Amino acid sequence: MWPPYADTVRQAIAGDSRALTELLTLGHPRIVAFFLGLGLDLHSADDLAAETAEAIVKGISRLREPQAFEAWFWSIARNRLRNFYRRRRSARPTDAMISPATPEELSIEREEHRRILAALAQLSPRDRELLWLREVEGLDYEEIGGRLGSAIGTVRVAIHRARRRLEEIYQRDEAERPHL
Amino acid sequence: MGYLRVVVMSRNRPFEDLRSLGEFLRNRVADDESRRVAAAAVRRRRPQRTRAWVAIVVGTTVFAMANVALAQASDPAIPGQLLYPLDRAYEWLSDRFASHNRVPERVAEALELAEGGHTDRALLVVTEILGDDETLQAEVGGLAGSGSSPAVRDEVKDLVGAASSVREAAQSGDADALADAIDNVKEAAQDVAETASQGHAGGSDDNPSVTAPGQTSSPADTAPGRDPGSGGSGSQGGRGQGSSNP
Repeated sequence: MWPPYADTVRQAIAGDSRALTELLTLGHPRIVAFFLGLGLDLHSADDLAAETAEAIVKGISRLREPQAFEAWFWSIARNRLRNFYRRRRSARPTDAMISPATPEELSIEREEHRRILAALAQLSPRDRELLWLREVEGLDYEEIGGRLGSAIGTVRVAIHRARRRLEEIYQRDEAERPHL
Repeated sequence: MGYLRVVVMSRNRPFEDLRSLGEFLRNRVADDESRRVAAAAVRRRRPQRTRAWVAIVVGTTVFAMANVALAQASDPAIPGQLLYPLDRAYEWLSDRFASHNRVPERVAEALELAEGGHTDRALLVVTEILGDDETLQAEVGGLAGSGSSPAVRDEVKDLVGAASSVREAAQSGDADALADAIDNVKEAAQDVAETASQGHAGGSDDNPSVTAPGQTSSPADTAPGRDPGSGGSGSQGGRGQGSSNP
């Protein structure tokens, strides 16, 4: 069940190991999918998901409102991702890009999944992140912007633009595809 | 009508495919693997709980002792007196908590300014968010004149987020989180500088009168339709950003 029940979150905040394990078990595939969808390789996505789980365990006792869990959960994942990008950049001044997991590595067979993955790769990391949280995870504007202090209007505009850019890429790719 | 339906379908398709991809990627993670990662993370928690208790006990004792001392230090101390450092510490704490309440407003302002291309002014607000950490302030202050390309704006927005985490961490009293947050601000500041240098630093489009001391800035080039002195409040639309997306 996702988002998790408020009772489960409350128990996890209170330190109940079983509730916390349940939350993380439910959240883990979502975090891995988020990292893969945003262009990480399989190994980095797994490592970062494990790091995110540890950060959630470490910080959950400070979460005051169980209702805010989902937004908080994603803010932890986003912070980990940003740290990851920064670490990569400082390790390689040439800004060498991470090789995203290929459709073959991900065992993707459906054509539309390959296409959307290729289209996502052409967006900026920020656009990918916003679209994923909005379209895949169904977060509302306030949840996406709230934790980082972004105004709802700013988030709405940014998502609108990201959607438009994805549509444009899709249409362009469609036009360039050979018709069978 | 048929045309409209085709257009609507084609417009929705990328998002349907995106949702479907999300589901597919989630399902490819085995339940056992998730349970293993969750259990491992929970197992590692225990020593930290012990540390947290030690921190609470020590913190409470120090706080109680400080309260007693502060009660005796109600009269302002002068340099050289025994209670002078305590008096200064009390002032520092008062200032810190008084300004902390305004952090969400400052964060929203900084983001609005960055979004509107006023990166120098956004950076000034960031230094305010950071409170009185002089090292970090210097780091951010040195970024004035980084320009306002879309890439720089995005990096400045990340910097705003990192700065607000510093305040959150400082308030929570979690030393590890604070150290992480400070590192993040430093890295975010480096990112701004790197991005600015990669995309040729051009001038700032902010008002030169607000440029940090010792910095040079290009002449004012305020976005059309924006009052240079109005800050970022209440402007969702009508931003003349000059970005690739009108």
